[in-house]
Amino acid sequence: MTSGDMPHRVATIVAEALNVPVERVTPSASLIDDLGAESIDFLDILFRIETAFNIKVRESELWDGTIDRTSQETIDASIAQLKVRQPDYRWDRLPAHPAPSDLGRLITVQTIIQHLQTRGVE
Amino acid sequence: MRYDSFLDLTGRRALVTGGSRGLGAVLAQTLAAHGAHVVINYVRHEAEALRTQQAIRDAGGSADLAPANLTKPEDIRAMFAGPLREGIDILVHNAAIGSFKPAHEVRANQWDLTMNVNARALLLCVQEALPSLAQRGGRVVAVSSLGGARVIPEYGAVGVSKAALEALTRYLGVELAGRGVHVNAVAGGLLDLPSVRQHPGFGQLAADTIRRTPSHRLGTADDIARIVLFLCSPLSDWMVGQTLVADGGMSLTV
Repeated sequence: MTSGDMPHRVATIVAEALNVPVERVTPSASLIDDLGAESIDFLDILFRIETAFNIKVRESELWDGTIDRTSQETIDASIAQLKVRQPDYRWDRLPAHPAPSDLGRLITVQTIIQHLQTRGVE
Repeated sequence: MRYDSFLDLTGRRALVTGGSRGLGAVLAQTLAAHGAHVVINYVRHEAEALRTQQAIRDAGGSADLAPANLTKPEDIRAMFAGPLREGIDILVHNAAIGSFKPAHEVRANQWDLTMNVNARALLLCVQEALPSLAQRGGRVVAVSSLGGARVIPEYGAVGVSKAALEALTRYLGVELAGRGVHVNAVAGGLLDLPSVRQHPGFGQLAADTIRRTPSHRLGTADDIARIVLFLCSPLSDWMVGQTLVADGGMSLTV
């Protein structure tokens, strides 16, 4: 692997974990809504990411990092910011005011890529 | 003859996998309360592991932490080369993972992860610990569940992994008995624990279980901890490779 191919490696990892064609693993794909991930799969993907990039990843940093879950207001504000950063996500699938239980659906392939970028992985 | 002293684990070093919270934390605290120096293994729940360690110390016990991802053989090797380099006398394999769904819907990656944590990790830990276990008359206790022998709804991969765990217990029990290592398991019925409450049908399952249980309640972590303590003590010396069922009698009813 060469420097800069991290997004492709992430797509391959997600595709292998969820047993879906890598072509479906686009940056804006929701792990739950588009790729059929279940809770145990998030852990599997995290472990694969750790092994592939030789890093330790805290679950909370990877999955929860972009949403302030303090209240409905903070959730709504976080999502407003996220809509700017992830315009390709199909926001129409979420309720206008998502509950905490809806937030897992927001996790996309791009969520993983962005986290790895913040960790200096290219 | 009195056997009180058999439950004194002073001077023993015990590893509890998945010991940060829930049943594992209670097992760790129980062994520590009986004198063992406990090493708490965890992978994700560091804050809970620290809380359990502190609770043990506050009660006058002794505990260390040993983070390791039990799905990774290299992590297990590093754990035994690092925090467990002095060896262990007792191994309690409590760590477990799984998805609540029928067996016929389990995906390959979910199967692998579940089997690797719930069953394979016991094998790899025993392999790493065997020199010290054999030298010290070691004890190995696997924490199984009724789903290893019976069919629990939405429990597919976990149940199969627990069956593998119980089979592994039988093989290790027989193979290692001659080397002075005692290997047994406990299979609990439905326990009232936060992790168990995540089961999608917990409410109905709990009601059905209580109705079918002659003891008319769900099991608790303490119910299992007392049996693990027994299996960690010389009181169970004549047991080899067995799985003790602890379910308030539920599995005996029709």
